[in-house]
Amino acid sequence: MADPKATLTFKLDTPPNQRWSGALPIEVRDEKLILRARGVSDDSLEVPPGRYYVTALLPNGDQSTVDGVIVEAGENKQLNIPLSDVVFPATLQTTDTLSDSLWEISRPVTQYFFRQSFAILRGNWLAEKFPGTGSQVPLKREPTTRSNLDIPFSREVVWIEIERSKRYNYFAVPVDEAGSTTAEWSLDLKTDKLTVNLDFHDGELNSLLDFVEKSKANEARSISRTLVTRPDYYATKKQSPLRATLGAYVLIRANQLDGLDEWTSNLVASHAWLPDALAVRVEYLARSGRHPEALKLLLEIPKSGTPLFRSGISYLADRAKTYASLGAEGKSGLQASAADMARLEKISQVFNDLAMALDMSLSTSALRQVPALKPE
Amino acid sequence: MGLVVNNNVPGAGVHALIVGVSNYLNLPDAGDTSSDETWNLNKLSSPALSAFKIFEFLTTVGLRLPLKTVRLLLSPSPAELQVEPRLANATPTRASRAAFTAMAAEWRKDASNNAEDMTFFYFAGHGTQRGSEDSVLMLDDFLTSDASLNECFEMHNLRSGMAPTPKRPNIALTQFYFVDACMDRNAKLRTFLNPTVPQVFGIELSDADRREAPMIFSTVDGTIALGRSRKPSHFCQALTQAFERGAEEPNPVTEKWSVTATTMKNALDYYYDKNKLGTHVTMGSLVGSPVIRHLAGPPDVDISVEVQPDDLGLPCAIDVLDENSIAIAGCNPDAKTKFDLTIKAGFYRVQVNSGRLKSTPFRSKGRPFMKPTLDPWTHNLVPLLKPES
Repeated sequence: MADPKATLTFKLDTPPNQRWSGALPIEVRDEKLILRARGVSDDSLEVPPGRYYVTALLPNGDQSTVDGVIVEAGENKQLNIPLSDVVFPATLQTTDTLSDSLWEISRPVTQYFFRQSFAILRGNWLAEKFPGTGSQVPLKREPTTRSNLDIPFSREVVWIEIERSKRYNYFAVPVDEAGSTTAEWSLDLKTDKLTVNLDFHDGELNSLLDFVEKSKANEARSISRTLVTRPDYYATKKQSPLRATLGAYVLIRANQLDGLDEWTSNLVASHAWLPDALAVRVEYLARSGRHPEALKLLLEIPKSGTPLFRSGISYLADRAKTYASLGAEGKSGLQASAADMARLEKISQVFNDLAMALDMSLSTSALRQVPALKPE
Repeated sequence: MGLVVNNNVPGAGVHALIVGVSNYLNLPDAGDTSSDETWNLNKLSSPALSAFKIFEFLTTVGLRLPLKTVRLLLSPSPAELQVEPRLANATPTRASRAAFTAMAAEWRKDASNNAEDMTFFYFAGHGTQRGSEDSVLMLDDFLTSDASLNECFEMHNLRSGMAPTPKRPNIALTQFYFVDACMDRNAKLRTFLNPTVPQVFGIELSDADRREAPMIFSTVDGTIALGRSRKPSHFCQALTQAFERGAEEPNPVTEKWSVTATTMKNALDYYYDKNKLGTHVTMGSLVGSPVIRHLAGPPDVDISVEVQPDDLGLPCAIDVLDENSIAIAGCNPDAKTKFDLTIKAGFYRVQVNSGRLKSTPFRSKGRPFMKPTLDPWTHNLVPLLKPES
């Protein structure tokens, strides 16, 4: 009979009101440093009896290790991992001050001197590129002098416009349902580097995005896999469509598709306002060889809008191009009408342009030096 | 030299296609003025050398699986030929679009017989990126015909053409793609309303795509080329280093250390950061966790140690101890409070002996170092100092 395993449960004393909290990745290594289990804090992992190093990992590369953790067969041990030596970044705050208000009043003058102007776009600007799509809500554009903002959730997605010398840049501000996002941005006049900082005021979502931004693939996958495969773990936590979508992107990138059929289907059904729900579903279906279903949803993209995460735009451009080129050769086998193929061709062109304009230094969508997006 | 075919290797093996284009026929020399007509691009003096270095690594050191086929296509510059005369006879033909199309077809055919095989693709030359999934790459006869993109190819097409399909159900499911090009967002390309590039592979709808097929781009867009005149590029340098050191985990069964797509990316980013290149590599496509090489033991890892305050007084000894509490010999010969060292990946502690400490020696908590890090491992001993008399 095999030895019964031991169970380790991890507790982290994450400081309150900081940028990161909740599910942080945990690694359990044996004395030869072989990784025996990987999971997240507050969760339990089964390991064979033995002596372990247990490490909690943070998005900035900091870590805290407890060594010499000994567990016996059948034992259920709770392990507190101290984080007192680790610095957590503060949450992002806006600077809504009197001077900001004065600046707003004097906008025409200040913009002349600062050579950049900003505006908030609300709504689905992608629909404007597809005559007849007819967005139910018109695109709205609201100039601002602020370079940081708190944006509350609305079903109209938000993009920020940065205009400089008649060249336009846009970046998406994802906002979670029932939440708000603080966005802070700058466009360097010398290097043209766009910097965007986002705070979702949700420590779990912030940390997942930061693991992605810092290219910490194993950690991001660990959180995302728990998210998709352990609904019990997340049942008592705040529901987050953005976290669910970002987790799906991470697993699709890793081509770890188990569990994503139901997951991506639910995203589309439950969060129609979020363009990325459709993007991850299309990519999942295409990866699974379910191309007619993927195409059917792909044709809905103009109604849904431009994905708020960079991968979504890249995936859609990639799939639209493949399907359009097959259609053009008349050998698609996709069972699409001539009207659908014409629409697909247009989607392919538009997303090709968007993919070419993507700022590859950001995980969220940012489009560089593109034609102005104007309300009708 | 540029073609190795050994399909008699039993079991799974590697099929490689390596391309390096420096001497673009229709571009002005490096340093000469390049106009809008030539897309503001010049001839290069690093890609062929870089591709050759990768070819040598594959044929001499090797990857996880034995080599079955290697195809090398180079257009070296005169400057590179001076540095490495073997480039002159390294390939049967220049890296033209026609030669590339023919070689790619043979490469795919060879790679279509065993799903356990691995493919390896490396391109060095000019290119422009389209999102994380695609790029347009230029071959040496770029701008020969009236249609500007006729002598280019798209990574999207290459990668899609390597997908498993009903016609090619046994194509290698592990595929590595490396693109070593200036990924600047080329303004000229963006003037094309709908830029089309002739296909290398005819596209078919894929079956369920179970590939592990990471695609690693050398630079993010908007950054300058990282090529170095008459030397292999930084990306090439970083990649070979990643092959040799970029493992982070011992395999639970074999205890060998595996270099995977993810650990390679970490190693590449570390090299870029360490050399302050101001950019990072990007990785797209179906990344997975494919293993490209195994290392026999733990890799070398660069770390930095810092102990505060920096005036601990003499005598003072700061050591790094391994998991058996044995000090790493000669790790801090100058008794500095901040020093860099190279260690084998493993579990370590810092030990400080100083008369200024209330209790000496101080021994830090342990920490596993599985990969290199630029951030110093800092130990603040100020609260542990004896009060000043």
